[in-house]
Amino acid sequence: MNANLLRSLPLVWCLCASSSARADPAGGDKLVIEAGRILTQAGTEIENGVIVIENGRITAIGKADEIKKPWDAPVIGGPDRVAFPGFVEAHTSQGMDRPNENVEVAPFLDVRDSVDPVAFYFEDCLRYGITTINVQHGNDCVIGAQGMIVRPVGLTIEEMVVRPQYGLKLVAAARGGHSRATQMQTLRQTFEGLRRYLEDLVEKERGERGYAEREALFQGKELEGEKKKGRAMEGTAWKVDGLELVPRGAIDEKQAPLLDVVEGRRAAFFYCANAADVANALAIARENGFLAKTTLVIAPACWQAVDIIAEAGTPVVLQGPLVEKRRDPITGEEQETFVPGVLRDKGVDFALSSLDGGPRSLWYQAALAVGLGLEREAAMDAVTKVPAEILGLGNDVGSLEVGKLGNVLLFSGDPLGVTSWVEEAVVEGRKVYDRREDVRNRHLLEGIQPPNTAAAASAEEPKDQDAAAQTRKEKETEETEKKDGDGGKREEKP
Amino acid sequence: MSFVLGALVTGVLGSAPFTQESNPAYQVRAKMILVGDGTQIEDGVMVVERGKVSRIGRGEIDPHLPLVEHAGVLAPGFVACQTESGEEGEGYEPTRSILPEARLVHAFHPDHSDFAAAARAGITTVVLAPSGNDLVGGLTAVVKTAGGVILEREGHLALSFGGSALSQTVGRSFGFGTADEDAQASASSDSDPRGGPEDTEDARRGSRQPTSYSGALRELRERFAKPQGVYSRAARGELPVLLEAWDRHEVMRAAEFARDHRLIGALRGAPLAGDPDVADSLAKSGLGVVVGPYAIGQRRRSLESVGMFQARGVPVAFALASPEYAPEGLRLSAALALSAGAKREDVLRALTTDAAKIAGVSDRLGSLERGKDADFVLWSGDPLDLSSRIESVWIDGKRVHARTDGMHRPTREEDAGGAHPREARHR
Amino acid sequence: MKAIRNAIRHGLRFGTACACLAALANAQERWVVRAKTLYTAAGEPIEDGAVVVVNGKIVSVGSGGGAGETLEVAVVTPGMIDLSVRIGTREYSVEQTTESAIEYPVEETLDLFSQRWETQLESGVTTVLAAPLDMDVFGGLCVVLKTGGPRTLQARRVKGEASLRASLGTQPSAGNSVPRGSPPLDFYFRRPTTRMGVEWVLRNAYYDLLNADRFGLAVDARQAERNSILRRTLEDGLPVFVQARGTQDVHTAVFLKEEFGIQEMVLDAAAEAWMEPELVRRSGVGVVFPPFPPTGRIPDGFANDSYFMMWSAPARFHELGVPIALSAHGADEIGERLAQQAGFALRHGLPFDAALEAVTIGPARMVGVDGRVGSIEVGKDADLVLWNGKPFEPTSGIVGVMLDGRLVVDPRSKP
Repeated sequence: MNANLLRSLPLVWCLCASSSARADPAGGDKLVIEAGRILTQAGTEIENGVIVIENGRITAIGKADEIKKPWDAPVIGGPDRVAFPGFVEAHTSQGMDRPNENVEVAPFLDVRDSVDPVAFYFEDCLRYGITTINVQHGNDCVIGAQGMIVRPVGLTIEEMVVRPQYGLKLVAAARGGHSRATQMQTLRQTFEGLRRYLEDLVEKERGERGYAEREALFQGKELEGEKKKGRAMEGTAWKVDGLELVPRGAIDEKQAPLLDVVEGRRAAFFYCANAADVANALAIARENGFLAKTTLVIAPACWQAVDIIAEAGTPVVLQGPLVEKRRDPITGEEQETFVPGVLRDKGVDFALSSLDGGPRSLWYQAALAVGLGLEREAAMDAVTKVPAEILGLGNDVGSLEVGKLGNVLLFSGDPLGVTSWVEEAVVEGRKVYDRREDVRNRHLLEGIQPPNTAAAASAEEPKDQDAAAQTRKEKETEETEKKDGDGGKREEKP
Repeated sequence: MSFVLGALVTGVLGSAPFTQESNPAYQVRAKMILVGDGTQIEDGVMVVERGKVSRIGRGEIDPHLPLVEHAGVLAPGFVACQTESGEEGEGYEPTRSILPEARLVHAFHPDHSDFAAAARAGITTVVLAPSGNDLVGGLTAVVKTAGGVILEREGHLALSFGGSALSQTVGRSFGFGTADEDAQASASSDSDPRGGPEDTEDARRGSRQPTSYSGALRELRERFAKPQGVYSRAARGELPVLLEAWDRHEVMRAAEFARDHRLIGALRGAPLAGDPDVADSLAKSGLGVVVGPYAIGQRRRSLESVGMFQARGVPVAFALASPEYAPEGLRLSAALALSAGAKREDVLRALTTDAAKIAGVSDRLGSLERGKDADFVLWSGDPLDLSSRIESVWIDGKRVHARTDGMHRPTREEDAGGAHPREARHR
Repeated sequence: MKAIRNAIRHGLRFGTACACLAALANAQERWVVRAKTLYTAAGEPIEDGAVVVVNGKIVSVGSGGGAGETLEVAVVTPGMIDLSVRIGTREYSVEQTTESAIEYPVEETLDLFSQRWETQLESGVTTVLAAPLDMDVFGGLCVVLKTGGPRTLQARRVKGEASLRASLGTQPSAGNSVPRGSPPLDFYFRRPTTRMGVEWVLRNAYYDLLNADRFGLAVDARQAERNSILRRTLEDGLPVFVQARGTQDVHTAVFLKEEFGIQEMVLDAAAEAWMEPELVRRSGVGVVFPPFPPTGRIPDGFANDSYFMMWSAPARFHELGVPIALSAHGADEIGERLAQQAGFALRHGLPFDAALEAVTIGPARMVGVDGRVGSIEVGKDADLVLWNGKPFEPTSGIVGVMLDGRLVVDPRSKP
């Protein structure tokens, strides 16, 4: 990764220098988008439509002749464009310097410190139309860092953040070197530890008023305002009596995110690699009262647990290939299961994930899903509305409706069509990507100018040869002059 | 006078082992005699004279001959068509791949405990075969498990079509940057039913040729094109071949080679050759098949191949692969094949007459017929019933093992192995 | 109990027998395949067309029909062809005791029981070129075969000795080394160890042929065999498929072709051929592209290097009139197979007709089997792919595959 980064630095500099794909958005606080077709993802399709965005949100959307366009707004798009809401990546561990920390239980960490604004992944997000991304810790932990929702815009974290300290990553799949038993053990012990810590804190507070606050000050935390107030415990599965005596800010930062999860104030993203992990994850979530805020991040093999997922009512994010391959132990034949199909049949809400490496992005996964038998509508929803709901941004992203954020993609054709490109991308009313200025895309599509052009090629001389080969060559040339019927493929050497 | 003597001798017989010298002839009466060719005789009597079967059938006992009365089943001794018993690693020559003159008979140590163990398991004849890791492994030997009898000094020419004959020559596994080649076919041929080359992850760099299947075929074809020595005998059909092949495509190649060069003999291995395409090809080649040994967890597809072969008239025999596998495993292999649908008479033949045919000694043994060797076993019940016990084992008319022989005192070699011979040895 | 067990066993066998019968039923004699759009790869697409198949061959194309089992789908194309499918028995497919394994046929190393052939077939690839692993400079003689049918070479082979495989660059010399301070332990202590050494081996092989012919040298049988194969590349149009990933490998291949007069040459996995468009066009070689790399870069795997493949290379070469073919290198993953590679080619500027040709008749011509496969024309093998939408779009699915008139994937079993 570092080597790649180094190699790309000159290119990145070019990107920065020119008003290029990911430069700071130009334009003011109003924008008008025209498109030959608008696919709103809200049940309607508009021919020759117009979208008006003001102060980052859509204020009007409809047919061009029915919408009043502000006179002072720049206009982008055209009749050959298809407008579509920006894709939503429900969960990813890409875009960080490293997705996993070595510590098993690390809720005190924040991916904010790891996200790399210049990572290729975010560039590809814009290129392939992902405008809202939930970045979470990787799968190699027991409890990982707090995540955050970002937009793929800007060269600093501040510019990228949409929702900081969002969600917490938990992993039911045995991490490297562990067994499932020890993984579950660690999970249970962590929540047990939280409970004991809180009970301890309450007891000490009861024994000595102001203890917690003094401890916090000793640790260098400033307790002001809300943080000075005691907190009631709102867990649905278990509570600690007397927690209202403890000020909010006095809860240790290692435990506070876990407490948020238990109280249902923080989303939980629970990774499972196979069906047994799903059962375990749901058990942990139920035992600690956060099932309602849990989203399962599942590997394809988890389709076997679809019944308990449906029963629990949790949404899932499918991470990995759409088709799970398994060899039948008796016949030796390979069985293939189309996972989104199974999820759809059982009524489980699911979002898709992009795979590594640029073009295998959300549009491609949705398109492949259609090819494998998923209804088009369900596939489109799995990359827009469903992930928006999962991230609690259902009122902000996922479709083009009045009041939602102005995250709009302008495609050169059908968004799932293989020949369609994202020509322009708008995030919160600002145009942040234009394919005409996408240097890397041009580089891939058109290449560097070949160093050996026609002139150079014709100047090539035959290499030094010994006499035998030389003579033979002359003979061959004679023969080919006699021969016909080569289809004109061979030209004589000068 | 002789009558009294005879009666005295009869009385003595039941308790003490007797040698051929003291009793050149005797008779055995059993509740059931399995002749070995599919027929059976109830309340049959078999007369043994000078180590050979002189008469067998229903009838009266001869009052002049000592009588061994057996309330169970009398069956021919089993013939195991492949084993490495007693070889102590002699069956594999790592420095060269083509050794047509290597003779396994030189690795035959008749006193080795492996043979005694085999005999105790009811196996009276075995084929000592090379390991299958050499392209031309050498010449097998067919021997009896007691008495040091060598039936064939040059039993078969052993050839290998398996990847293991090539794998000794493969260089380092290169880290392919792009996963271009078939990276999935790496498990051993039996557990990966798709077939594919064996895992060569830890294969050493070698200097042996050839390294490819096409190279192997070329080497073999060259030797059979203008055959000399053992190759010419094999090409003329005088010397049977024992072809080692494991993955299905290897079996196809071996069968085709045998057909093209009109070779007779058998194929060893082929766990998944019960595939209809492959079984047909084998049937057309005229080769027999030596299968097994089968373990408890053996895939059903493998076990069913025995029945499929026999349905097509392909003679089947079982391999012993001792000492790695316990000799009792031969009966287990047979029982497993039976459980997967093979016919009882066919499976018995695979242990006796067909195995003798494949071993090339069917004129001498394999079934209990007049003039053949008196190699037989007295069972408490049907030999294919695993709850039956061996009461005694006889080779060339001599009793070499009896269940009532006191506690077996382990020899030094067995001590090293650490297992009691009566327990089923699991390795 | 035993009776029940037997009954179940027989029942299973009966079930299997039924399945076999069903398969046989699919191997019936006459099919009529109707499509809203029929892409023949031999001319304009036919709207509302029909293909009639009898005994495994195409007997009529166009409108028509008649008796026989009828299938109706949205689109039909010819079965696809991959010339760089890379399915084989890995190290056992190539004879490494020599770097010039010219005379070894790869068809003797194939494992037709591998499941990967079926995966190819189900993804619409009906004909492939099987080649040895590129660990030798000359790998051997390649074979064109179908990806389905009875699992014997005789049944599947379309053309034996269809091409001679060679490889340039870093791969063939990887693993060779020079003994330093210790005696050579095995035959891997040998040349070549560099790119120029690899070229030398190629050149040397041709020199042996030329010298033998010119000076009438006596050669042993093996050498005579090699010479005769090489002679066929110079006189009988036996194509030489050369793996030439980098630009300098492309140079080397083309120069060798022109120097010795190799009649037909195809560059395989030619990621950087686009850097020499004029040279390639002028030389008349064909180009088989590797799968489109997502980042544009393909790592070398043997040296600390990578190759950059411009995505629009196939489109560029098509414009120049260079014969092209696409390949998927036998990828099993959904989304990386040949149909999707063709989709990416469309995305990167290749017109649809050219993309269709690049996976059908184009590769068929490169190996000289275009008389039998590669397009939907009367007399050719009935290898068809049935789609429910525009081919190569990821949103389209392959609903049926027919090979030699046998329905391997049945569209009627899909909802």
